[in-house]
Amino acid sequence: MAFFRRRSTTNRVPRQPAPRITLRSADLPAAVPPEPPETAGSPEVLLARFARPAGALACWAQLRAAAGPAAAPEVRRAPDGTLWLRASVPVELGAGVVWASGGSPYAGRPPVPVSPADRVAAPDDDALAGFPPVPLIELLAAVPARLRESVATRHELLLLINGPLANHVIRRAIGAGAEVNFQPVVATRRSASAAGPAGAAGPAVLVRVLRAGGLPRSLVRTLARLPQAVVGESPGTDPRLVVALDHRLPIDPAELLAEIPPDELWVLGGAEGGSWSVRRSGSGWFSADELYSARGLAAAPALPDRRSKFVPKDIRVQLVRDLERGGRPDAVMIDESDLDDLRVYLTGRPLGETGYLTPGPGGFLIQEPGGLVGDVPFGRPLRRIGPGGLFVPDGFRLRPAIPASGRQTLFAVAPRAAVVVSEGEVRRFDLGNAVPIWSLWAAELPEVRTEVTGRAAEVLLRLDILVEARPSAPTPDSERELAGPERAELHRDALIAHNDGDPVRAAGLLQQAGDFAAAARLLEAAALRRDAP
Amino acid sequence: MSNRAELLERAAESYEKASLPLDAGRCYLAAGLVLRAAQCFENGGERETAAAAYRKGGAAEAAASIFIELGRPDDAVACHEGVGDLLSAGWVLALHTGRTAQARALLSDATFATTAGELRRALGLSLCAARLRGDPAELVRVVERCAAELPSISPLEARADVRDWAVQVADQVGRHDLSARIHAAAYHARVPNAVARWRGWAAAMLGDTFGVPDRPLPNED
Repeated sequence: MAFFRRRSTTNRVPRQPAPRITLRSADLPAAVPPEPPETAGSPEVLLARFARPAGALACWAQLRAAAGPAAAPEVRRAPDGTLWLRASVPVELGAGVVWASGGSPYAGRPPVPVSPADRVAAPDDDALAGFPPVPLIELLAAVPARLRESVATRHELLLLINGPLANHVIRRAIGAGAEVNFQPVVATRRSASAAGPAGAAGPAVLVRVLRAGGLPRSLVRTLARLPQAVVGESPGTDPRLVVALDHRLPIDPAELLAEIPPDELWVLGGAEGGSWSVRRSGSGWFSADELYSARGLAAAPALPDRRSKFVPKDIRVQLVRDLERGGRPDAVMIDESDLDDLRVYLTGRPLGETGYLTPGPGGFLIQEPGGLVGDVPFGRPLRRIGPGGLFVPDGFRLRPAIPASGRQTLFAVAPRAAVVVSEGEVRRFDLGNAVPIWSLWAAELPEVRTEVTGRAAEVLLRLDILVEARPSAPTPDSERELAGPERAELHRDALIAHNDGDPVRAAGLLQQAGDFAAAARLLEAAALRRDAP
Repeated sequence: MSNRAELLERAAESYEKASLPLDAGRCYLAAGLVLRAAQCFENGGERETAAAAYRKGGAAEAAASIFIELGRPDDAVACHEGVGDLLSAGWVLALHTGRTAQARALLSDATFATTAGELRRALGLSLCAARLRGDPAELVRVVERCAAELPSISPLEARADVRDWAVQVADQVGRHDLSARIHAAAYHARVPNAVARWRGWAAAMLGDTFGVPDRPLPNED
């Protein structure tokens, strides 16, 4: 159903209704409501019954806009689940809004249905007062948020994270050149979901990520995919209301802001993230830059002294920020501590099937020939600058620029190896050690049992007598699907070929493995690179 | 080392094998293979992009037919005019727009090389005349002439075209009797697939296939 938006003042329904004509039949049954009260024009109590929260919310917004913030309607939930809305508005105005929102209006004292066709009796005042009130945020949480397509540049994001994921987010955002603040909060879940029941409260972290010139798209996309987190932005300027990215509020945010308690913040995360009311701890924002500059992530420190005689002594090769070159990463480097998170995250995702994990000094390199690694929300995204498998962190470049042959000499890039240049260190990964990512969770298989026992064996024995065993025809080679290990071998060779700067050969190997989409992506990327100067 | 266009073409072929026609279309387009791109876009359901690509590749007929399906006859007319095909442009104007006078002007200027072309022009002009004067006498005459000349038209594909054009014109003025006569003539002229087309037309237009033959004429040896 359509939601109501606050109307402009030009077409607002007048507070004072026009004179009206009441038509009544003389011989209607007793269910006909009595003549409406004589106090027409002055505010009176209007009750409305709604089966669905969306209707109640629409009616709430419309009546509040018409009657003013002081007379905001209240909503209560009856034991049978129906919602009762009570407002002080003229019946002439209110009944129409209620009908249009899909509810049934009641007026008078005691309240009787405005429509003679409605047979459901209204609760009396005492019964109504006994129903639990439904806070606005619970009403909002019960209404599915609408999706909104947006490619606008974001300057500020607010994330509500419950769990150790906060550290990943902060590191990743700082790595992308953003300014990061955070504060500990207490978040109360307002919508029941698979992750937990409504009403559960617990500690969480509110993270604010901002950058004056706009946040890199790759960062926004990565953060938006995080599990166990709501990533949103504030509609308008007031940060007390956060709406998940690409979602749209069903009603005007200005109406909501007045309803949010002053010490609270509402985070509306749609069906996946859930809706939360957040109480700040009063500590204010901590700046994450101070915490993390000690790790040298924000600065641009010097590389280890691996200079050859061709580089003059007084020039130091440095990694410097270059956000313009950020884009889809070619690989991701994760620490050992991230491995468990990665295992949980990748289970069942396509990258888990086609990606490769190469163990190396103090970490792992994740690569995928088809370019799916951009989806990994953990670790450090890397960009291949070549020659061969030479990587730098995504969003960085070497200064001064060194030609390919120089880079090969300086960083000792060899075939079948990946070299990752990061702040203060160079790590080398032997691609011969690469294992499929799925081996992370398939490493320990239970014992495979093949014998048939019990009644199953009896059945088979009986069938042996009845059915003559017939040898099955061998499958011709052309129709045979590649076995898992063969495909894995082809994928690994493709990865090595790709790292060695031969995407055409890598694509050929992927095509042999039957992975045509990944092969096509490689070929297209290779063609586009050939475009570049 | 392969060049850019070659790589893009290979990428496109690989996308096609992966059942990703829109990605394939994008690569073919970047490789300059416009008509193959158009086919991919059409397979992927991006008919508007497909029509634009067909037009760019000079396949005016294919582009125009998509534009007509999309309810954009003016673009279809522009496609035909772009390659100098006044006959088709006038035909689309007469059949799919209300601009009868403009259609008649284009059809009058159109040149044709074959009997089929001449019949198509006559059909279009007779439809314009029927619309302008409100009298289908000329149209009836031309459709009957089509029915009479159908067996002498060659090749067989041209016969099928004349049959289709005549049926379209007759249906436009609600003369299903004339359409049925043309279908019968096509049946006797051994136009390929004549039975299926006749039965399909009868089912759609008349709601019944009673009396329509259900198999082709036997071969005369």
